[in-house]
Amino acid sequence: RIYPLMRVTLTTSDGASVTVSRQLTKHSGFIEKAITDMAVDDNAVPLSAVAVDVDDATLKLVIEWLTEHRDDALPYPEKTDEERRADDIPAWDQAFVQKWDTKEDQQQTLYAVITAADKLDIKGLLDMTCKTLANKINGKTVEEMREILQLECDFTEEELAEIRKENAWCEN
Amino acid sequence: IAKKRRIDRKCEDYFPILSLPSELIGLVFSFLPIEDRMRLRVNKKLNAIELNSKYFVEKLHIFELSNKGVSHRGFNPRHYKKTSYSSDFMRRIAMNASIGILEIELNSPKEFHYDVYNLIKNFNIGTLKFGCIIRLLLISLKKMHINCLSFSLYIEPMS
Repeated sequence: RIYPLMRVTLTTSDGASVTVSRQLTKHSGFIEKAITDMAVDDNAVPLSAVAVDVDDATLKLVIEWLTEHRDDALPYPEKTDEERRADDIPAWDQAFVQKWDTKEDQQQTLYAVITAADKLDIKGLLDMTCKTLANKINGKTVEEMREILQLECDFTEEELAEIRKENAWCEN
Repeated sequence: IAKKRRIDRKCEDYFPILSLPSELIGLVFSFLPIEDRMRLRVNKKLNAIELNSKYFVEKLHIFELSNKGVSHRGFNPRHYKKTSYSSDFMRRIAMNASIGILEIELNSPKEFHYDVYNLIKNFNIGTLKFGCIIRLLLISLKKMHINCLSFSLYIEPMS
C-alpha cells in the first residue's frame, strides 16, 4: 500500500537532497525497492534518505516528469509482441523534451535522462525517452545517423559490402 | 559558417549511443521502423545488437513490380527504385524478426524466386499471403511451418 502524503528524501550523486511525495516515487522500481529494503516505519515523514546515482539537474527533470505522470496506472503495462512505434508520445511529454532543444547539450540531457530512467527503473520515462531518440534517427540517411551519433564505420570492406547488399532496398 | 557551426556542435553535443547498455540500445531499435532499423547498423556493435534483439513486424509486403512500378494487384510500394535487389535483405530480416502477416507477390519464374521460396521457411510468420505461380510455390511449400496460409491464385500465361 502506498501512502500518497508520505515523503521520501533522495540524495543525488552530486550531494543535493530533494524531498518528494511517495505518490511520485511509487513509479520508480529502484526507490520503492530501496524503501522496502530499509523496512522503515511507513508512517515516518520523511523516510530515511535514499541515495540515487543521478545528478541533481537530471533528477529535477525526472521529478518534473513524475509529477505530470503521478496518476499513471501501475504496474506499467508489460511489453507484448505487438509492433512498437515511436509516434505515440503524449503531447505533454513531447513538449517536455522539446524544451531541451534550445539547450546546447540537448543530446547529453537526453542521454542523462535515459540512463536515469534506467537506473531508477521508471519504465514509462525510459520508453518515452528511447522513443524520442528513435524519432531523432527515424528517416535519416546512414550518413546523417553517423553524424547524430558520431559513429565511425569500423566494418571491413567485405562486411560493408554485405551490409550494403542487405540494405539496397532501404538506403535513401 | 553554417558548416563550421555544424562541426563545432558535432564535437560538443552528440548522443553517445554506444555508452548505453546493449539492452537499452535494443529498446531504441525496437521503436524504429524496419528500414531505419536496418540503416542504423552503422558499425559492428550496432549490427550485432540489432541481430541479437528480436522484434515484431505487423505486416511485411514484398511485391515484384512491373516496369511501371506497380504490383500485379496495383499496389504502390513505399520503397521503389528502378533496380533489382538480391534476396539478402530477406535473409537478414528473417534472422530475428517475427512477422504478423508476410505478403509476397511474385509473377515470373526466375532464379530469384527460388531463393525467396527457400527463404520463406526461415521466417517466423503468423500468416503468409502468397501471390505467385502455384507451380513454383509447391516446390518449397512442404518445408514451411506456418499457422495459416491463404492463396491469391492467378493463371500462369501459356508459353
